Amino acid sequence: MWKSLSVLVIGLACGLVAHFSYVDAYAPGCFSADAECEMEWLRSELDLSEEQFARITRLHGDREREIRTLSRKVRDLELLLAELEAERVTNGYVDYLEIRNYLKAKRKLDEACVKSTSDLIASVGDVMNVDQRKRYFSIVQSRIN
Amino acid sequence: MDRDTEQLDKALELWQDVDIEHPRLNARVWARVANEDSEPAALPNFFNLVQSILNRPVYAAVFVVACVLGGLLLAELRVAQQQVVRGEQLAESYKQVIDPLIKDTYLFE
Repeated sequence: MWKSLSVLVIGLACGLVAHFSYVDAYAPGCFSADAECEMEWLRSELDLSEEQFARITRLHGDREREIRTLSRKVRDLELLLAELEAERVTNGYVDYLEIRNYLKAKRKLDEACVKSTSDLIASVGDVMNVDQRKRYFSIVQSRIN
Repeated sequence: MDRDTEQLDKALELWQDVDIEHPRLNARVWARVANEDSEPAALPNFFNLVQSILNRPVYAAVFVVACVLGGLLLAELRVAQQQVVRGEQLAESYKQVIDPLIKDTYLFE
């Protein structure tokens, strides 16, 4: 009785130890939401060489300021639209000239954002070989214009 | 126990008056009682079976190895699922990194 119970316990304990050791060793390492994590993921996903990884990281770094500036402008425009909408709701007043300016600025900004993203994707794709590029484009497909 | 035996004897005697086929009923009942006494059925049959299997060293070793392999298999499935989920999350956040039109762009913050 005790012998078979101890075999049961030893078996289950060994199974649990094996399970958690394996998960510990092979679970995805990077769980934080930062750009370094994404670059590491891109490296493993596309099987990038050290040189490719360095060049791609540099390309992203070079674009950092531009993307951040564009992103800020996008948020500013969203705030402007929210203010216009609040004014319409509270005062019943619609400033058509302001809306026209907003739409003009939004169109221009959208174009700039799309161009920035497409340029970055193209320059990153240039660093890769055909298979890597195919895989990369499939990841960023919805962002390609 | 003796009282139980007497009661069982009396109950079996009553069956002799019943007009149905019950050849050697007495002997069969007592044989079954003896059998139950010699093999204590405190545990259900399944546990008896498990116990008898695990008492053999070869099967015990096979059981432990099977547990280890099962644990590894489940771990592999779990890791694969985690990687798929994490890959999707990172693909989405990478798009945020490169596209200012997507909210929460946080490139190299």
